[in-house]
Amino acid sequence: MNKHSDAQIPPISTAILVDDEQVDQILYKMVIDESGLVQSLMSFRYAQEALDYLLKPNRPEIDVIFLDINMPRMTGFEFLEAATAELGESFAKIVVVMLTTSMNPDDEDRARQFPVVKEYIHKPLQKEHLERVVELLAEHKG
Amino acid sequence: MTEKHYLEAELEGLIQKDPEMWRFLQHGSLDGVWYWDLEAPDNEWMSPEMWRLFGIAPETKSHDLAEWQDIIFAEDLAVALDNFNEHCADPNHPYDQIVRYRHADGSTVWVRCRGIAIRDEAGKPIRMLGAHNDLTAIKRLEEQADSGRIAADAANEELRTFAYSIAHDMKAPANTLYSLLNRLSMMMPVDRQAPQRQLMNMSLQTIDRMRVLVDDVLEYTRVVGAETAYQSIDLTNVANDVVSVLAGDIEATGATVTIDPLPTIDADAMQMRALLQNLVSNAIKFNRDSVPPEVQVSSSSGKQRGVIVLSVQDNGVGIPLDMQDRVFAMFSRLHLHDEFAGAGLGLALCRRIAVNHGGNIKVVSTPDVGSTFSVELRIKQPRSETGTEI
Repeated sequence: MNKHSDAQIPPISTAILVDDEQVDQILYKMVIDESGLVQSLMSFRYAQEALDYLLKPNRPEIDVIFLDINMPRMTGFEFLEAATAELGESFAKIVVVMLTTSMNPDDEDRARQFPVVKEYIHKPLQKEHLERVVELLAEHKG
Repeated sequence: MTEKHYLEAELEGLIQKDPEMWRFLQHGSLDGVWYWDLEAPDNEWMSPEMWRLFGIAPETKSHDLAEWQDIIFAEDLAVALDNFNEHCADPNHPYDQIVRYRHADGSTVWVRCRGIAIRDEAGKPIRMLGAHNDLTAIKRLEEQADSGRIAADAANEELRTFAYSIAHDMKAPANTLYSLLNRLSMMMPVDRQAPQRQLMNMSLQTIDRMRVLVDDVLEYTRVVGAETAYQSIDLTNVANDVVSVLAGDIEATGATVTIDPLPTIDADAMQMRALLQNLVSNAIKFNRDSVPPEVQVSSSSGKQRGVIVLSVQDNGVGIPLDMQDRVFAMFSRLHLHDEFAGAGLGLALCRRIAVNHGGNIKVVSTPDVGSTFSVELRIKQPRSETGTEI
């Protein structure tokens, strides 16, 4: 939960972070908290857990999912495939795919095949990436 | 001897009577014919087709021996002359070689050149009949395939060297950073909850992961990059060595490692050691909380003759069925880094080693019961000079 929500409502109401690395998660949560742009953040270290959450009937609408690709068991791509199959193309307003430098250059093309994937970033997650999500959400509304 | 088919006998007669038959065979199957007078060796009749193959107008030539010797490659002429001398001395030695000629346009023409000496009553060679077949198209394809393979080998070698150098050069700064962070950590507030302390711990965790990654990439490239050198290897000795290297982990986890008698096989010493070390260390590492690892290294005969199955069995966490096919892929991991450390290269290396030895690796596993990794290996390697014949 974000500490800076006193004056105005943060533009990103619900965000999900899916990343198996504990250190990365802590670091990204710091960046997200400091930005004041996110109202509510949920994080998962296995993609399957994030998928289980998305399948719950009374969950809120998800503004953005920050998705790591290289994860044990279910990879980011497998998550995108499974979520699209279960929930259709718009299981979230935006998915931001987080690439690591070791990734294959073809991975970006592979990610592009999912319409819900609106942005690709190279790790680590930074404040500018969150600002970009705010822009994309504004376009999404309009 | 069976009697000649009437058509074969008829054809032999036809060829003798009708020169058209000979010309048909010559045009249909040959790219040049020559007939050489060994008693007057300057005289050699050469068919028009032979000259046309080299891009030369036949009417410009005068059936002189020197005319073809001028355009054949010098080292190929030497081979042909050697064969000629031996064939003259011994009819059983074939005059048959692939030689290169220089085409009028400067290109190379590859010719299979065969010949037979015609001898007088005393057995002395007096004439020689020869036939050419054009192999240029085949040879050009061969050259292309060779150069493609050489380029691919060179590119692979370059990538291996590159990966090795990168991993090697990253090792020193990673170690230095680790030492620096450790020193910094000693100056930190003692309070475990202090944010500096937490960030410092995360930094140490990250650099630790980097060191594991660098070490694993280094081991992978070192083993994969080296030529597989077969020698007679007593796998029992290798397994015992591995157990002493892993003594620290064995003690820390309270593991029991049992080594059954293992055979001696033709294998690469470094690769066998890496194989067993990875499998045994995995068997110890992927244990269930509060269940001391029990590891058994054993062998059995394979389904095929001359093949053994080397097995490493554990009582650890096991692998879900739908994940079993991906454990051998590079950088593939099934667990979080804080559950089990590792870069996801160990089993990829094991598979590579098995394949290098003409074998394969499989896993049978039940979650929360344990896993058995089985490597099929040949007892004898082809062209191996050591080891005992089975």
